[in-house]
Amino acid sequence: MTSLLPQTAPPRLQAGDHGAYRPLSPLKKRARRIDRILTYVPLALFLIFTLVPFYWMLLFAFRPTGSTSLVPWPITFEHFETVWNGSGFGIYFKNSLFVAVMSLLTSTVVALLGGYALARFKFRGKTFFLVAMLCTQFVPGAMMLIPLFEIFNGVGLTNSLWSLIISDTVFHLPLSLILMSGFIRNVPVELEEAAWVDGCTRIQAFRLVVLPLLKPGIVAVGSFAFISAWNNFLFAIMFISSQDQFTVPVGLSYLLGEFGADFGALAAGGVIAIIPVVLLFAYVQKFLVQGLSAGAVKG
Amino acid sequence: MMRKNKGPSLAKTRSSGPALAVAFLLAGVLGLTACGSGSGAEKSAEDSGPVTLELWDTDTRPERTENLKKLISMFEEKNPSIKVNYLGLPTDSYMQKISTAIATKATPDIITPKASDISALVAQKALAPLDEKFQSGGWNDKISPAMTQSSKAAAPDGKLYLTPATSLADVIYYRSDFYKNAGLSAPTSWDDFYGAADKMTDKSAGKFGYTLRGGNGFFSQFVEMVYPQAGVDKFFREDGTSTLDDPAVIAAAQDYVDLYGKDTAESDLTADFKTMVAQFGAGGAAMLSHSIGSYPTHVTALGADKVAAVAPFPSKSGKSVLTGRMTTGFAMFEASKHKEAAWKFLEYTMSTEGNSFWAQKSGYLPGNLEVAKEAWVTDNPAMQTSIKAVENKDAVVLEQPFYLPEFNSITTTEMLPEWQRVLQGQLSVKDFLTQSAMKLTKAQQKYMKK
Repeated sequence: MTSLLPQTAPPRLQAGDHGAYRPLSPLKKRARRIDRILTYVPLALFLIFTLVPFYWMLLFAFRPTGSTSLVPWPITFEHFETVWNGSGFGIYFKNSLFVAVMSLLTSTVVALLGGYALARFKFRGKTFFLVAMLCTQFVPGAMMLIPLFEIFNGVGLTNSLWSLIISDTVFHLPLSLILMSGFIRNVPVELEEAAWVDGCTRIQAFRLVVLPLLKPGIVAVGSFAFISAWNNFLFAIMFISSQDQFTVPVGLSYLLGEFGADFGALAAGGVIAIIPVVLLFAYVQKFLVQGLSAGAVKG
Repeated sequence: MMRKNKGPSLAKTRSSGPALAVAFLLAGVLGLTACGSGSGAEKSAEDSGPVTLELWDTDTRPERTENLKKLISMFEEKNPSIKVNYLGLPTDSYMQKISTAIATKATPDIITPKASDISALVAQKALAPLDEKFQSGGWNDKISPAMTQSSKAAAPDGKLYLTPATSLADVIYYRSDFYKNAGLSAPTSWDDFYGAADKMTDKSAGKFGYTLRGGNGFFSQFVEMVYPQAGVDKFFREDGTSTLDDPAVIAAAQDYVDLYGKDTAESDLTADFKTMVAQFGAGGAAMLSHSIGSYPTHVTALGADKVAAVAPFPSKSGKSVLTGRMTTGFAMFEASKHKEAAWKFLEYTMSTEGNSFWAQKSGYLPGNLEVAKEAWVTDNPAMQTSIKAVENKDAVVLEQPFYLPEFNSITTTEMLPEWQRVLQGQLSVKDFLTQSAMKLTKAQQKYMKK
């Protein structure tokens, strides 16, 4: 199938646009330097403010117990061994990964289907539905704990990771739906119409034409779903009553006791907990920014 | 030119929306029901084999979990027909889980509540009273009467809900190596304490004489440092009025508050226990007030040779007031389907074998009188300090009013921001204590009317 996208390249600057090199006057040079200082100094301060807690975490995670050195040297992996084997982080990590990946998949699939319906169809109560979706965002998860527990208990899903997947998906769905419908609305409907003319069914047109253009949206919605499920502490502690079904956030809270805190193990647990999120962001950040800005401006 | 979709050409008006929504809901419910064959809780109740008990621990830490699991396996060895399933709950959010479990009738059999939780749990009729079992089992003679009394005092109805298996006590920890370097001997009076805090403060080096709890949980440290100094041994007078506004308490509180910023770090304004321990362990503070329960943590961080402990000192009038004598034990839920088996476990934690293991590993004072004579108790300086303090015939134990349902909220949520204002000099100590006393008085008088 030929590409349906208009082939428009970003406008290139012409050679003469910049004009010939003109030396700046000392006054302008000075103004530019001040500009740079005013830009970079606050940025640097902000960066330090942001990175110090991370450095603290890495320092404690890789520094031997009892050391007061400001650099993690001699480096040790004892804390990682403690949390992974001793505190059961191996199991928690596996559980968290399962919950987060499943929540990502279910959220994205349902958001794609629901978002398509919201973007492309007119139906009675659509506005009410959207407002209701928005309203659900104002209800804190803690308020729904008892009814949710009753429901999951009734259907035998307490102590099951599926209770977390379902609740995470459901709580995340309104935002996902609204975001996704915005992304789909931004894809010109004429592209689909052209595909239909070429003989595609609606599903084929969606799969072959719309879906590839939704990559940034899928990444944005999927990342939010993954991160929200990965970090969810409340549902994990409430719906699970079996040690081998807990997730990483619960495991982290175990390292803070009433009469003691193993900061090395806590930091190592923190490092383990952020690895998937950091890797995910490293991979998807370009799509994420693109996706969010597209959804934000035109949604 | 392509136009953004407004949808007129494609858009279809669907009137079957409600029908679809109902179908979707039904499908969802059916789907969930299909997944729901056999609830774990129901299954365990129906088991005809060995009894399985569910135990929830409210202070989960790796080493405590390991010890509690060991205690469980020791019990299971002695009672092969009883299996105990352990579940650790985070120490800062366990109450939410328990409240949900009570509301949804999904409570376990055994729990390890704090004395301060008993009132709320009894108000919900969640715990089973243990008085009869305790008496018929002959535990009155085997367990410390003071701990039994303290445990009963935590309940609004004066019944025993929490086994007096172990207990905590407040001590003042100090860095013995710092004291030695400063040429000081162990403190024996409040004057010694304040003098040492001043002498060991070197702000330029980031070293402070004391670390003050300005953040979450401040009230326990406040009581530990103020009431013994004031020589006041009761929270309420006969008429139910709070002693927080007692002139001696106000004067002692002023001394305590004056430490802030002078002999403590400014950041202590928001310091909770974890921050205090980190500061003490890193050498940033020479003294710390806390329970004997944290002794193993300090020894792990610093080594036994660098940590020493003293009990809070007598007041100037010579009166010795002991604080923080909080029972830490096990309780049974009223809804437990296996009360006899659960009681067997509770008994085991008070028996010589179980109590010795559990108290030693936890760093708690043992409730069993025989265990209290064992070498590990007599050799532990923090415990000896606490035991000797109790042996003093003139010493009076200050019981905190955990039986008041409002006590926790008053001393945490309501008093904390005001306390921080006091430390910042925005509110006087006298005003703070007078206002707080009024709240506690109201709660106590309401309780007395009942």
